[in-house]
Amino acid sequence: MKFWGYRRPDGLIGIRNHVLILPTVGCANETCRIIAGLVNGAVTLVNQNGCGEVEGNLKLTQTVLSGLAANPNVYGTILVGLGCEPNSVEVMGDIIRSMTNKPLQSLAIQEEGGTVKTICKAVQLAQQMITEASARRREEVDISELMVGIECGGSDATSGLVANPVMGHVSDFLIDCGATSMFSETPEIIGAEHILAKRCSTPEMGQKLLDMCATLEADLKKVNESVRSGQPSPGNKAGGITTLEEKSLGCIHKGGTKPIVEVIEYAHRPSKKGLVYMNTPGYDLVSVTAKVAAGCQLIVFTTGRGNPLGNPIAPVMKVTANRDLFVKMNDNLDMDFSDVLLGEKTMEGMARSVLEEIIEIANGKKTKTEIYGFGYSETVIQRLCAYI
Amino acid sequence: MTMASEINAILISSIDDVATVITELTEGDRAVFIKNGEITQVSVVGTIPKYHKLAIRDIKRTDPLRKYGEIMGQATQDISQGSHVHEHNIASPD
Repeated sequence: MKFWGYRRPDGLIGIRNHVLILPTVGCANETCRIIAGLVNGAVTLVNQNGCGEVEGNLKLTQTVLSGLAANPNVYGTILVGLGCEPNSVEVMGDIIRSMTNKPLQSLAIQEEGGTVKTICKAVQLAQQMITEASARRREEVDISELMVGIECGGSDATSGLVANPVMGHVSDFLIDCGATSMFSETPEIIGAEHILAKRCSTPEMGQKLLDMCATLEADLKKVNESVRSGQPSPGNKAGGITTLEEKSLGCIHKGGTKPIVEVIEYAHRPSKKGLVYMNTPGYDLVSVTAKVAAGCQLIVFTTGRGNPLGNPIAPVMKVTANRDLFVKMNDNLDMDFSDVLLGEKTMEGMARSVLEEIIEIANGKKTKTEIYGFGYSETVIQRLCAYI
Repeated sequence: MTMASEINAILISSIDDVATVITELTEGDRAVFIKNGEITQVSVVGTIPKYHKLAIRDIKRTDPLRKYGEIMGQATQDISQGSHVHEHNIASPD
């Protein structure tokens, strides 16, 4: 199978062609919002971090921001910093350049002499970069160039019964085609981690996955908290999910049946193609952000209760097997799997339809999240501890 | 005779203790699902909200409960066949 994508100078293939206005620190967020609002073709995002954080948190910030800039849906990036922050434009610029040779510009508000001067200069740079980006043409490439992130959020019982198993079939199809499928959400594999560990391609990798679950539970215990206090959520319970174990057993179906070829840390880029597990929280904003930072060009998001979440860089395709929801929240949903629940279509048949829709979206068809321009405030970076 | 078109619940694995209803069922209704390729039915006790679970056998307090063929909870009280299974009568396993 083939799709039409944008070939980047680093060899990766994008399905969108954004210029990213990227704040290196929270102090530059509003400046970036104005810059992106003055041109057509740029995206930006709220970055709460980049200063006032311990080394481990700074590392998470840098991994996510550099990953987002390196995501192949981005043509090029304009970094905007303040000037006195640890995560300066120079530091971020070096990290991004170590990952990709795509266009990159940077400005610091203190150096430019305030927000107005920064905005004026950045708008000129953005205009030039958008002109270059818009001259790029899509070319036909193999589906193996795709990295698809599979997320579940606002789950009900239909998620585990149908939506996640259908996405498991899609994941298997993608992997058969040589592509990458990524799933995550560590709190939502607890109770089912023993099943996934056996599917890892080496015992060491299986142990790494088990350790991720144990570490999460131990870290929360240190601060007298428990992963079970917020899981399953009130909405999950109203939708018929009772225990965390039940939620997890439904969630892991997203990963299909293929061997897990790599278990990676939060927001890291995989080094292998195939089925990849990433260590993320279950909170969808934090998890989707990490998948896009890892290089996913497209996210498929299963839901039973409904969810409008988007991402500024990657299309987020919303799917449900709950027909009532598909009718009720149609504004936020892209595809209905309920024919499978009602016995009118097979899982495999639905998975083939999903694959066709993935190709359509890769070719440029917009998801509802993109049409509404969602995602600007929905990139959230995982934290280890309090701000300083 | 019960027809396949009357199916209103899903049993994922034949070793599961609970089935998921795909429409609300009330006292006296029959939950109809497929087990080992056979159409099976259980009389409903009380009300089972749409997409919630019912016990397909009598379950004793502290018994493990299976869904997806795996242990997903433990009974916190005796549960009679056909009853709603949720937070009020099961919890995460110890």
